[in-house]
Amino acid sequence: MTDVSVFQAVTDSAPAAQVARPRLQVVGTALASAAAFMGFLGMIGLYIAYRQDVRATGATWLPDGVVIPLTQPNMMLATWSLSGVVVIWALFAMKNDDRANTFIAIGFVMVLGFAYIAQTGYLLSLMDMPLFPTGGEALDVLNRPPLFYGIIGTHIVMTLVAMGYLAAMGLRAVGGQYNAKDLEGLYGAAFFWFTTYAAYLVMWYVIYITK
Amino acid sequence: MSNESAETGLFDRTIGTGDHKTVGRLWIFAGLGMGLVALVLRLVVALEQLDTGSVSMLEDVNELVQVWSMSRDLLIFGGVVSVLVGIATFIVPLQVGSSSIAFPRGAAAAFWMWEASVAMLIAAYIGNGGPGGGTRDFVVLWTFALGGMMISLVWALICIATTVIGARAPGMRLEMVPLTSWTFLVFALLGILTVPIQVGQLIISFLDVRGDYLSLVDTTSLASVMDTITLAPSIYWLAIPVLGIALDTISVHSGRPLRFHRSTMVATGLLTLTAFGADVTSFGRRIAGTDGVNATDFNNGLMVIALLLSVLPILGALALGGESLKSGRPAMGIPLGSALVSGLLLLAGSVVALLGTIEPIVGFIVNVNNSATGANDVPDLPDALTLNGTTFNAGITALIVTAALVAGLAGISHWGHKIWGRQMNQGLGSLALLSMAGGGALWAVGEILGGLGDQPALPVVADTDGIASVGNLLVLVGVAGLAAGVAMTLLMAVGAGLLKSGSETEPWTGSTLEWMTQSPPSYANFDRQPTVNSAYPLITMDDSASDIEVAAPVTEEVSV
Repeated sequence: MTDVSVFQAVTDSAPAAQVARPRLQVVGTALASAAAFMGFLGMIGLYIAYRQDVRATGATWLPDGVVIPLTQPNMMLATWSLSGVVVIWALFAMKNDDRANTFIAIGFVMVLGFAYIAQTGYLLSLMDMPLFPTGGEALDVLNRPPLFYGIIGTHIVMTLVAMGYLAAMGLRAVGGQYNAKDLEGLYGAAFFWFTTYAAYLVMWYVIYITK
Repeated sequence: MSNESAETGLFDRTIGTGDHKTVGRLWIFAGLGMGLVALVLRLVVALEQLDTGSVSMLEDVNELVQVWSMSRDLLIFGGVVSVLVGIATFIVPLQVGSSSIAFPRGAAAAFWMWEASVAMLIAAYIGNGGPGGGTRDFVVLWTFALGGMMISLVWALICIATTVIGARAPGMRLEMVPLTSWTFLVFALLGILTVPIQVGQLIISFLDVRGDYLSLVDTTSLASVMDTITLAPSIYWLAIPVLGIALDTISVHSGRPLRFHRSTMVATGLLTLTAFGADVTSFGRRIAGTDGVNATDFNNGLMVIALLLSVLPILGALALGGESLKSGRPAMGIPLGSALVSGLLLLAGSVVALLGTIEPIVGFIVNVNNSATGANDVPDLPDALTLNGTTFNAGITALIVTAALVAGLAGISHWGHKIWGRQMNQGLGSLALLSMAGGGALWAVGEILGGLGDQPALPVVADTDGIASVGNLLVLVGVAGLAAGVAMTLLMAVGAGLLKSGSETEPWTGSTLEWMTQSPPSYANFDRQPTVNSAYPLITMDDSASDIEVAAPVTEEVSV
């Protein structure tokens, strides 16, 4: 029996390989991202409509004494923009089978994610707008702080999910599950990261810039 | 993928399984059960509304609103959508030639999260929560539970859509996807894009109630969160899979595959566009606010266009199905009868919805006239035209919901042998069909009459007479009939699925991939990965022949 016939005998008797299902995770993540983004846009829609109503009565939208500074939101925008670049760096590194750079890039993204959350906390402390009144003072029903906090809180949750997703996929990549030819998980995590970035862009303009 | 052979215990076979067939069955059982509970609650409201001048069975009007709201929540997101998701979870992977649903553990987790959310929703209402509720913690729990139900359904829809997009058999291009799977894909995409908007509103409502920004005296306003999705024309969302199930069923039972497969796909796709437009404009109408006169006109205009355009794809899809019936040899039975009835109910719903466009059209004309003349006339419209805010829209919802439930019956009986491994009880099925169709029609007529009698959509204590009183009586009879029909469908499912009664002989076969599997299918669905190159891979098609023959069930690889 020649080498070829031995090889053929083995391959003929072996079960057929499971048909590959490319992009399932990317497709699933894209759909989940679309759902999350639409939920976020729904809240933004409520915010714009309610703000328009309040302004139509001649009242100011933000409660007396509450100011939204621009420095922190702009810094957060810069943070998000930088994180986008770093996520692309992670993908590019993985595409070249460079696990060390992938690991460094994902670690950097985590730092930027935490930086965004910390900056949001600092911004909210500067604004000093109580969500729930505690001392029996009159409710600021007109200005609806829940709308404001609901949107920002949802975005922080999205950010945490995006960080967790990216960290999990990053660990898989570093562990050898992904390589230059198959980095579907990283693509999926990157997709959700950019969705969260897009949501921040909407929030930055609607809440922080046009106030 | 887990090893099913190792799953021997009841726990492994239910809670622990990621098999899409088991999860699909669980969705169907639970959905029918919840639908029945919802209709019984609606029956209580209908009984109470026989005399709208007072509240006798329940404690007060707030409790009346709670029961009404609970029945609506459970009917849409507990019953109808769940049954449809169950059928999709079971049948879509088989139709597209996949060995499993995408993210099988995720699909199972979605079901169990939905179950937990339903339990929380019921607990919230029992604890005096929900719209009309007066206990803050339980009103908060209601927002949490309803949001959980919506998220888990969206999660399940993501699994279904991903299966159709990414797990199709080799050779199956998107235009070759069977109609049921196609309509479930567009149903899923529409759900993914619209249901989260309601979740966003619930998050805001959660904070409003939690922070006392919404007075507990006025929690009935929370019911409006569901309005966006439960009223016409957004409710057409449910109509999309109804068309798919009906057309696939017609195709098999008339022995004639649809001749214009792609045209039918386009028609159902168009319905999705109009339903999405309607949903967005419905949301826009609600949030247009006091300064939104122009926005309201704009949204009304879009809503009218969406309603008008919705009739055409429904009519077109049904006409294409009719072609199969005309040129085939229809074998009337429960599946075909249910498919036809569901299609007709859908058409009736869309036609009746056109009546609802009269008011915004008249309003638009008045506004244009006022702008042109500088006048500020607001003419008194006849009651028959001021339908917005009355039970009129609930009548359209009743027609669409009944169509979806009857389509559920069509799907469960058409694929019954695949789902349960046994034929379902035909006698009980006939009774269920009659009961559901008659009951749903009466319910809808009752609600529409109530609307013409100016009865508000939200239950209130106020004297009504004449046409609205007749309408309330019809609602009572209709809901009772529909509930009986759903109960019989549940009995059929229990009989075939749990009691294992009925013949094991496969009663019919079709030309799409699910018909080449065993009944019920094995764990991996297919012995070998099928390869296809047409929309009806199991048929032998001779272009020169005038007829198309359905091939015998195939047990080997199919490559046409």
